[in-house]
Amino acid sequence: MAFVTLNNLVKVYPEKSGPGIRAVNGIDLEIKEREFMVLVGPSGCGKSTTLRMIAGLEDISGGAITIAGEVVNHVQPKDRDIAMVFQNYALYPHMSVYENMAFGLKLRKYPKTEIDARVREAATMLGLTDYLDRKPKALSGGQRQRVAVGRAIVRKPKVFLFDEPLSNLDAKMRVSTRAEISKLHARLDATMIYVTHDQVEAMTMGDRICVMKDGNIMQVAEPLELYNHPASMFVAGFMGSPPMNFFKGRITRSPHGLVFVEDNSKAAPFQLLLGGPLAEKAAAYADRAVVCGVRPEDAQDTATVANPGTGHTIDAVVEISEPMGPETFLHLHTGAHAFTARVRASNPFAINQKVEITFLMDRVRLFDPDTEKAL
Amino acid sequence: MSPVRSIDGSRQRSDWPSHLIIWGFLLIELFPLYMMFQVSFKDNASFIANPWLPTSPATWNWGNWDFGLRLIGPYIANTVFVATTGTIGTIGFAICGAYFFARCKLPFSDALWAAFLLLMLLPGVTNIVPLFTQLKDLNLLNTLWALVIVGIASAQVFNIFVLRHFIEDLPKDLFEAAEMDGAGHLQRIWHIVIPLSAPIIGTLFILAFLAKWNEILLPLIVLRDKELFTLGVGLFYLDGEYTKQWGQVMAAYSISAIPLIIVFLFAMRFFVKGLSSGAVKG
Amino acid sequence: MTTLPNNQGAFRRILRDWRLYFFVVPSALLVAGFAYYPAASAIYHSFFYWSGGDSMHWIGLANFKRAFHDQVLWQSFQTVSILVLFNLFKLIPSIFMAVLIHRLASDRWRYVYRVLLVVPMIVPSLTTLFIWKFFLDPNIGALNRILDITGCKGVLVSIDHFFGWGVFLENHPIGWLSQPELVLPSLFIWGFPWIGAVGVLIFLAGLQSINSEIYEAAELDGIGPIGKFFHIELPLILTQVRLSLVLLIVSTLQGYVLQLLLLGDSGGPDGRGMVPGLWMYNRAFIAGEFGYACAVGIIIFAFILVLTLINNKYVRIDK
Repeated sequence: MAFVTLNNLVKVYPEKSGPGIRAVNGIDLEIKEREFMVLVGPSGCGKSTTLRMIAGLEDISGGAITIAGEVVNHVQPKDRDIAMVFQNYALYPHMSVYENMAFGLKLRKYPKTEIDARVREAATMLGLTDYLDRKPKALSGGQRQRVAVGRAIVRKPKVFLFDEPLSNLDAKMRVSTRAEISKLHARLDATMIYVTHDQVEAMTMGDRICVMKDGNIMQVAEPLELYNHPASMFVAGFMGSPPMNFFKGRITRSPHGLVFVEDNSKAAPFQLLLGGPLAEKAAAYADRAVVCGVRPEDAQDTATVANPGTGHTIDAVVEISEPMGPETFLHLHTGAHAFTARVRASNPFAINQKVEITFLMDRVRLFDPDTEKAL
Repeated sequence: MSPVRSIDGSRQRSDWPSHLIIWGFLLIELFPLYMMFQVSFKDNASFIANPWLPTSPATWNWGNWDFGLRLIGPYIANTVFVATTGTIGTIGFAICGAYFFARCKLPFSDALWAAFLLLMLLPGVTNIVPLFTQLKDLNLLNTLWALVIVGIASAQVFNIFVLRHFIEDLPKDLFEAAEMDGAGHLQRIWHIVIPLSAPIIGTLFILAFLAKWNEILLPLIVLRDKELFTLGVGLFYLDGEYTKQWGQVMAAYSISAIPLIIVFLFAMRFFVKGLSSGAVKG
Repeated sequence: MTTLPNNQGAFRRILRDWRLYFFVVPSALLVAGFAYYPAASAIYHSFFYWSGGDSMHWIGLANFKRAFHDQVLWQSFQTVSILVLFNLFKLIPSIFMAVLIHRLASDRWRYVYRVLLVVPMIVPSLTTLFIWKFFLDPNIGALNRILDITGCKGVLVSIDHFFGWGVFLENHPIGWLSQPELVLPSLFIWGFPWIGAVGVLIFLAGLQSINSEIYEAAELDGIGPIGKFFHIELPLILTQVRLSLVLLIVSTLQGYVLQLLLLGDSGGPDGRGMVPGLWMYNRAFIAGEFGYACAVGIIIFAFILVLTLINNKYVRIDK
């Protein structure tokens, strides 16, 4: 059952002249109870604005937000039974850790013993017991972040909102805190909505991911579904690092079946023989332009592939190679297209060396070049 | 190379010429304070015989202080009332007004702000004559409330101006976090604005208090009854007397400083901190 | 989906948040009632013959015409211009003091001096003013005694002899506030050594923002202590200095408490200390010419306004 529902939600920032800037463009989204939903997208895509509208910190220009069956458009933030963890933590600098966590309960006139019990419970859960008397200034970044989470926990809200809570931590802290929050979600069994621009956070934490761009939702799906079956070139390019490689080309018929032929005027264009479901999708596009997407890990050095087969190997030239240890990022080009391959490292590659690359055809995706949607 | 470096980057050299000059300035600055205090224990004869050096505490003439206290004690009581009420009103209203301008983007707030700013150009000097007749019409002439109200009104623009910029510079997150925590606007002012702008509020408080403590023009025009005189008017008429017992006058002056000493004892830290942090820019 | 018109959104916000306006209502009412109303009233009354009571009659621009030919007013503007120059000069010691304190090596001393600077503020400035008046007293004042003791009096008298001023005489105490020629010099000396605690603290705050690396770079470039002041320190506190200048000029132009208390409501001997504000006060509360006083007030206001506009145009203050 949907717990938080966004219905044709619109946010317009007024301009001096003109119709105003549409930061959120009529989006629909259903978030289930106890779900960990991640809103992800590049900066300016409207994800934070959406979160802030759910929180009640921004006016809603159009549409409706429902929480637990009740339309909350005109409900004050404090009455929505939600808690938020801010990007910069927003800890009250003049209050101790204890006071920071107790503040919301104090304002709601909870009895002292209840407040104390809840704060201590949250502090134990987050490992903050020894720091309760400290001021935020005396804490490390990771500790501050936990206090911010603790402040949300003690309220026992229906919905937790996170606004890029890890972006101010260093890389190491980010990885460990990511896991902490995931554990917390499992433990609290609460609905959480999490905004980030980092696709790794989205992939690792979300039950489902909502990818946004320019105020629109591009795709909502479970992480692996999103990764394996991106609905559009944008989603395919946004999720994954290094991003998916795109090759412009067209579908042509050949005696063996449908073939993707690269647009290449500088060298011999490579050809990919399409089979299985890919061929079914490509059938409608015969003799038309398409874009072929291949993830770097699905492009392998033919020398390391057990059964290379035929019809899906291409020749490329090494521009640069970045050995990572277990694997090597090869920056290659075919003459017309530059692309990246994430190959199992066997031997070093030299610049301008010619390599034969095999594409794992069941993982290759085709897109319509005009709509940028997946076929 | 010497390990200790002074702030201007030059190698550690002795600072004593600077110290000497600073102390020279400070001593001259403090000279009136010294004169006031030591003369307050002398009568005219001993003052003329020995104007510069203090007499021994054994021979101190506490009668001067007794006289001074009886003379200006009531004036000080009046001034304490005017300055305290006026300052609390000034700062209290200014905090609310500044919060409104800094945090609530409502229709007309920009127009209102422009109207406030325009007032900064308007010198108070033009107002005093019509103000006198206005206070007369309001039956506020010869009352202390006239001083309180006009004092609050004339200090609003400056204080709101300084506080608004300060509140705007506080992280927006904090206000939103407080909103999520369930704090209303008044609670946000009480729990966030006031604790976080304590140095600047302390500084403005002292500046406002000093201004009201030293106010003389308006009281001179408004007050008629001797019982209502504030310090300024009292000292003005005291100065106008033909023959003066300087010791008594100086004792009265010394007493006039005591309330300020008390205020500074409480707020000195905030004051030095507030001004030193560059918080008062406007 | 159509966009909501902006004014409809504004209207909705008013309906929802109208209580917020209460935060600004006290300030706005006070300002309207006790700053805007009297100002408007001053403009209105400047066109009337009005002695403060209920009776008044319209005389058009007569008050302004009279002001134009008012020798005292012209003279008072001259006097106040000289006072502005004096006060600009008196800003220098505060800057000097701030730089001296700032360049000290010891953090502790810098703090101690900041506190010590504030100490004189415990004496109400009003009281300080009367103490200064006491210092300037011809018979028992400290200034004359110091001049006597140090022998400076003799020097002054011989200079006087040489030029034939007739101001400093051998056996007469110097009447700082009673000799017409000495009124302006007395106003100049007043407040020596002219250090404003608030000013010094604000300058110090500006100086604190100077990175010590800048000093080190300057040292490598071979810039001396005076060069450092003009090339590093002054540019960085220019905002504060300009602001002080503007506030100082405006407050000098409209101030008259000092003159009123030191010299009385007619500007002292020969009216040498008469400033425009004092003339307005004098006309209203001594002569009872309220309408004319309003006109004088408007002229002062216009004068300050023009200066402010010029200032805003040519001297930028970066906020």
